[in-house]
Amino acid sequence: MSPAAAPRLTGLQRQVLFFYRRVIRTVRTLPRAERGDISRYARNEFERYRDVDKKNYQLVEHLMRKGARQLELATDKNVSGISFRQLQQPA
Amino acid sequence: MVSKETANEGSTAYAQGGISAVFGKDDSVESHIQDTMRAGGYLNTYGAVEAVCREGPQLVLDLVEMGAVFTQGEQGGLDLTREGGHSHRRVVHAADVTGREVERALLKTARDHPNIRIMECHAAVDLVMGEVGGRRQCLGLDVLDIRAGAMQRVVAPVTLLASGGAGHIYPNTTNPHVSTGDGMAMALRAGASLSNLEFVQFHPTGFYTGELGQTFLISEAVRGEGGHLLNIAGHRFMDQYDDRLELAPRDVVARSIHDQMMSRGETHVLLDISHEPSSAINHHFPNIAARVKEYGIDITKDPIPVVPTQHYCCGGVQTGLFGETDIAGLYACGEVAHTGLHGANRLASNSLLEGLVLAARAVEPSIAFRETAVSQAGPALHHATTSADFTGAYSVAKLPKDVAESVAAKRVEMTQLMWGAAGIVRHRADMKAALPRLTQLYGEAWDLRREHGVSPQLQELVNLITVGNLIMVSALERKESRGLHFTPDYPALSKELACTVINAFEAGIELHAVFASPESLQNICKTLAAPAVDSPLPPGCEPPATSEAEATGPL
Repeated sequence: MSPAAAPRLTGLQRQVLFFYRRVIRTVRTLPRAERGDISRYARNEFERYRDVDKKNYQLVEHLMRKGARQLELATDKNVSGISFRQLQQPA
Repeated sequence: MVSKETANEGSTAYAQGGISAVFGKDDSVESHIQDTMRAGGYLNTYGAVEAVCREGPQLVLDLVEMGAVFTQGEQGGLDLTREGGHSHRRVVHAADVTGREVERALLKTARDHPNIRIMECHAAVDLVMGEVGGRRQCLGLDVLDIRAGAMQRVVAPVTLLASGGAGHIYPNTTNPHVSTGDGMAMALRAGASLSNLEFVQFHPTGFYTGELGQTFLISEAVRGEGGHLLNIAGHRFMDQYDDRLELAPRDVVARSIHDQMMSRGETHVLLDISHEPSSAINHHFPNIAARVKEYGIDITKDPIPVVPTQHYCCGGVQTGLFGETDIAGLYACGEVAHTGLHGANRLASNSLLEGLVLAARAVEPSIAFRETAVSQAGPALHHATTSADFTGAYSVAKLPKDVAESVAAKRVEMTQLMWGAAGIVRHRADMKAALPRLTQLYGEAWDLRREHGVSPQLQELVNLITVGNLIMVSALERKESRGLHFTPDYPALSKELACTVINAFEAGIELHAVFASPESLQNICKTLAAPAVDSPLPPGCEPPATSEAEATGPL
């Protein structure tokens, strides 16, 4: 597909993609033993919300804020472990 | 003051041994600090330990001024007993019913105060949350008036949780039936962080009768005043486990008894104080003597059958040194809170002390916060008052018989899972096997709640299973044995000191457990605190409806 035919992304969509790339780059800086779980979790999260409407600004921004907090925790030097557990099936 | 039962029903009334405070002339605050840190596996928050040990004695004297009557020593002054883990005699007591006496004095003062209204038989259901100045704030409480069968909203600029522990997560506990983790679960749903929940204290000597449920506690002080632990064959055994014998800290004694029982295939051990003078026994332990006499046991002649029993939750809602949580407008005090005082294991008689000191410390800051909140949170408080919606999952339920039976069965199943996997000795394989079912029970409990609405039994089930999940997740995070958390898979202490902090980013849908150094706890909690702009989604709810606005963006 030529660059001219590629779908035009909104500003918010570009923010999400930029954030995703930041997450992947950051995970690569973590100790090898921790990378797998966090990387898998991050990919699952982005996949889970892939179909959220691009105009659902409130939800997208909420998810980005949540992701940013999770990334901050995962990379905090005082944090020696982090896990994520689903208590309920997501809606 | 909102109380699920009558105002005097809570763990305080059952606290027997006493309140630890430095009064002895050979004693010192530094010694009390060191005893507390040692018992806590050095996972304690030093600032909390120092504040509580230093400020405790004056507050005990204030209790006396308020009308509390403590046992007097032979030479005058307060009688000081000794309990396991304490290097000096420093436990102030009222015979063997100290908590009951403290509560009596405090409740009388509260009831006599014209500004205090006590709402008894009102079960807290959820914290009311709103947004003030760009941050989430607690604006009060939704409660179920049990007698009237109606939901009610109590709007307040400041809320303090003093809802106690969650002992009924386990099949046997010394806790009264109201201790179902309500405050901890509500705080989690509101977005607060909870810490160190894996540190559950099992009192070594709950009175063994062969029945399940609330167990009568045979006080630490019985060992402190010379009681010996014997196996069924009549032999003392603590010398096999610890040089301090019966005065070793509770976690050591509980594990020792557990090991004796498991290795010998027995259901209990014996606690014998009959070798001490009868007059001293009856003077010091009149309540214990009377209770066990109902089962035909004379403690001046017979040994008392005892078994390790869930007793206290050392972890809880993370607070600072003034009872403040990471949710604006929400404070927590007592067993529901984690101040860091207890570390990995609570020193005997430090629990009443903690409640006393932290409650006093929370007074001025919460008054100051209230004054700010009233000026800034007016619209939010007004909105909270007028927006209460007690329909659907928040309507009052009368459970059909089959549903009530299902709720009861799930509760029993949960207690068996917790005791089997997250009891005194924890095998990781057992915990990993139990957690999926525990998580499933959580979903089933919420499904029942959404279908039927609010009832005391269902709400307690939801809260118990919530806290059970948190304890299990926390226990799995900790890959070491420290204090009350013992796992044969990691029997040694880890080189680093770290606390487990849990937060539910999306109000009960997902848990984040973080293992972080004690000094960083407050900062970690700030990071975990729910976002300012929008509230977390209630469990199982659909995402918000699609916005009608046109697509716009910075580019």
